[in-house]
Amino acid sequence: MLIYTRFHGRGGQGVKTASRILGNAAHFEGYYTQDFPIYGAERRGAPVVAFTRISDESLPVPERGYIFNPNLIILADESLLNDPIVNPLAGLQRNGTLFINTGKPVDKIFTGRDDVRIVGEDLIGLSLKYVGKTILSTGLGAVAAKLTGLIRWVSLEEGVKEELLEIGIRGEMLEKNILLAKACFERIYPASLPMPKLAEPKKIVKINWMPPNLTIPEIRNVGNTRVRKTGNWRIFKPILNLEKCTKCGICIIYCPEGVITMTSSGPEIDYENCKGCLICFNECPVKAFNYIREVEAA
Amino acid sequence: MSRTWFSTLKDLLGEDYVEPGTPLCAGCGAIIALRLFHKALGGRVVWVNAAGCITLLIVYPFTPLKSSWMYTAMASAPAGAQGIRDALDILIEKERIPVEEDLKVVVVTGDGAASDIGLQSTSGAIHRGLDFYYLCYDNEAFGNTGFQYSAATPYGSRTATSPPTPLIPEGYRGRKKDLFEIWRAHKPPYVATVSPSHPMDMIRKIEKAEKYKGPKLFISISPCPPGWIIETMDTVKLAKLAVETGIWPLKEAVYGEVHHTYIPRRLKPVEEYLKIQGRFKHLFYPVRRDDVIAKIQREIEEYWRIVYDKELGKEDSGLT
Ligand code: SF4
Ligand code: SF4
Ligand code: SF4
Repeated sequence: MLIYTRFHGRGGQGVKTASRILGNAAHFEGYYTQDFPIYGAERRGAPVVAFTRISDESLPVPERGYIFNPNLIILADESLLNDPIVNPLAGLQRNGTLFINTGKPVDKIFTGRDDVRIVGEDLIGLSLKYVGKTILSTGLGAVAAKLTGLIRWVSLEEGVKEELLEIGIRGEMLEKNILLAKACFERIYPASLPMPKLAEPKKIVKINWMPPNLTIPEIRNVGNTRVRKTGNWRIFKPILNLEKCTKCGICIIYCPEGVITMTSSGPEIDYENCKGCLICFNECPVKAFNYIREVEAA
Repeated sequence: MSRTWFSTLKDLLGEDYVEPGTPLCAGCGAIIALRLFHKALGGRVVWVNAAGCITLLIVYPFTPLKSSWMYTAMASAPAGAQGIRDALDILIEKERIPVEEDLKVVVVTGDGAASDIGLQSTSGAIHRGLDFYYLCYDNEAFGNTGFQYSAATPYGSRTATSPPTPLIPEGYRGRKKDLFEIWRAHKPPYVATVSPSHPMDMIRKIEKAEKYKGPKLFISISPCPPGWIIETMDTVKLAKLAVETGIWPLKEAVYGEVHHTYIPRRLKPVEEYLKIQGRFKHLFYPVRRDDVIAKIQREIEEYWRIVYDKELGKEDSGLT
């Protein structure tokens, strides 16, 4: 029995914590487990991957390192689905399970995979309901625990407690998170997962010396980050009411992304790149901005 | 050198040299400061950076900047700036490039590189009188690697390496290193503190600094949503509160002579600034640490008492 879980999300969404909640819960259930994240620099919004391996005595966690052939994928952010660099479904086993955190019905989401089971749930909505904030880690961990089909509620509860206490969440906040975990746990049904393929031992790659003029990266196409659409980072979308606006320009100066420009009719937001920080909303002196949740905006 | 003169906020709506699509966190204060700084300096700039969040602006093959950029090792951005400055000077002297193609050399680093790891190379560059700008965006910790404390972390802050524990309930016990004073002790032509919440103040300081040849150094407070544990929308609000509570004085020093550009007549209680930040939450919950809050307040008041005595009535007016 082997469960190879890969979590994909963005920095700040708590996939590392989720992988640890799953690891803890499996541990309390009496399994061998291993959990760890990878990320470059830890910034909110940047893609993050975390892993949890679970096994029993028959094959005590046989591998280390990245999971290339998961049988369970937990996707914290639907917008990563079509990101060619992240490629979150890579290696997902036939008949494996894919969980997507989404406000939409899963059959409305194109994944390009009809050989896997797809489960969806609006974890942001549940988190707002139970915790009053958009916390994803607990929900993701709980959903993953249920999808393994191995973990009972008591072990998950203990796993959530242990992890959240460790990162300093206690008291009422902890209670709310446990309620959230329970709600997520009860809404999901597990299915049996296929055995993951173990990786072949890798060959060692030899890298030859190259002259520096070939290896120093140089970018000549300046200002080209615009093509990297950061609009999909948004949880909330700012909406400008031009009738109230006095064209003072304050939102333009404070927008960290520089996505607001002044046109003859007033400021205009480029939603392709707006990250939804809502500084414009907060700083506009005449409160000309409003915001809505991104799923509702779609 | 010809450029436009900024006199009102509206003048700041012109050409922007930092394109969107960066990988920095939503609501990052550092990029607001960088964007304004770039607007004030104009487009003919070469940035020299040492490792920090801002480094990730440029991840091959992407850059948001319309200007040039060089990345150096963490301790040596000012040394890199020296190399570029010298190269430009030599090229101009030998008439290999015309004077109009000269570039302003600007070091940009976080507080970690500025007040810890890169301090000696900055000291060397100031001492040699290198003609350059330095922008330190101060988010008061090593933000890029998960918010470990740096020499710029203030007393009482939670960081990844100074969590409040039963033994040390107040969080970070050290004091914030006074980088402004360290830089000022070298008596360079221009040193200033700035805040992204006060764009006109920042712009005027840069315009003033431009008149001097030699080191021109700036420290900008840079609220950091994940590290400070704040809502992304509160970045600018916090920078404003930092100025109004007096914890972040806006000042400049010309050849070592200090002058405050904004003197809050009545300081807001620092509590207003602390209590909306998760990194100070342990000072309010589960038990209120009046002793720690009072200590922070006292230090601020002591600072301003001296300023009031010396400078009240001499600050710039018309600050936006
Ligand atoms: S800050 Fe508000 S009033 Fe000013 S330009 Fe922006 S939307 Fe208009
Ligand atoms: S939400 Fe943030 S990124 Fe989007 S337009 Fe407003 S200030 Fe700019
Ligand atoms: S960690 Fe802080 S300073 Fe770094 S990019 Fe994020 S908000 Fe900006």
